[in-house]
Amino acid sequence: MFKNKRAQEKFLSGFNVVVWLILAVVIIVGVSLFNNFSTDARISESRALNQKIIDCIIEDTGELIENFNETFSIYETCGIREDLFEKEFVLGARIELFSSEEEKPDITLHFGSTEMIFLCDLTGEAKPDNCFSEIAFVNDKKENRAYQIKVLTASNHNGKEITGSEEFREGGSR
Amino acid sequence: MKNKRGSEDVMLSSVIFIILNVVFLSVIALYITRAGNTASIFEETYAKQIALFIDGAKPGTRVELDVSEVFSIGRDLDFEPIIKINCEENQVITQFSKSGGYKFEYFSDLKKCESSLDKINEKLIINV
Repeated sequence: MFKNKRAQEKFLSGFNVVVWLILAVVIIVGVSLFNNFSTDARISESRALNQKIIDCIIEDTGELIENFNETFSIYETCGIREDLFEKEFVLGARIELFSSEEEKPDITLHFGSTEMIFLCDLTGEAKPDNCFSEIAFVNDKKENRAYQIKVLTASNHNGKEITGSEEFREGGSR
Repeated sequence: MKNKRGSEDVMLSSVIFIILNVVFLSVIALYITRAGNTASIFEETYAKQIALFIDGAKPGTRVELDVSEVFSIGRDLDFEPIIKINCEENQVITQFSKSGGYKFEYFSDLKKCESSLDKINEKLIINV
C-alpha cells in the first residue's frame, strides 16, 4: 500500500488528521445548515397569513367585504394578533386594491414590518425567500365594479428554545 | 530478513490506518444519524407544524393529530412528552426530553382554544 516508510508515517500522522478535521467540519456545518433549513417555517407562515387575509376580505360569493376601506384593520376584522406585527415586527403584510383599468392602487394598507415588505418587492437573488404574494379578483357589490387585490405577506418569525419544565405544566384553554 | 521486517511494518501501518478510518467514519455516521433524530429537532418541527395548523384552521375546526412518533421518542429518552397549547400566551409548547423544549407563537387571535393530549391513543386533540 505504501511505497516507503516515510510515506506511511506521513499518512498516519499530520496529513491524515488534517483530512479528518476538514471532513468533520464540512459534515457538521452541512448537517447544521440542513437542520436549520428543514425546520424553517417562515414561508409556510407567510402563505398561511396570506390565505387568512384573503379569506377575510373576500366573501364566499367572491365579493369584497363591505367595510374594506382606508381604515380597514386585519387585527380588528380578521382575528389576527397585532403584537407580532406592531411590537415584535416579525410579520408584515401589504394589501393593495386596484381598479381594473389603473396601475396605481386605489387603496394601499400596510401592517407590521414595512422593511420586510420593501425587501419582498426586490427581484432576483436579492428577494428574500420568506415572502408570499397572491392576486385575487373581486367584485364590489356597492359600486358594481371588479377589482384586483394583491396581498403580499412576509414572515421572519422564529420560535424560542426554553429550558426548565415548570412552565410546561401550566396553561389553559379559552 | 530486513525485507520481511519492512513488510511487517507496512502491514501494521496499513491495519492501523484502516482501523482509524473505520473509527472516524463510524463516529461521523453516528453523528449524522443522531443529528437528524434529536429531540430538539422534533420539538421545533412539531411546535411549528401545530402553530401553522392553528393559523390555517377555520373557527369550529376539531382535529386529532397522530403524535405516536413523539411518544416513541419519549420512550427512547425515558421522558413523558409534553405538547401544550397555551391559549393565554398564544403559544405551542413542546418538550420531548429532559433538557429544555421549544415554543412557537401562532398569529391567530383565537376566540375558542382547547387542546388535550390523549396519552393512551397517542393523539393531540385540538378544538379552535
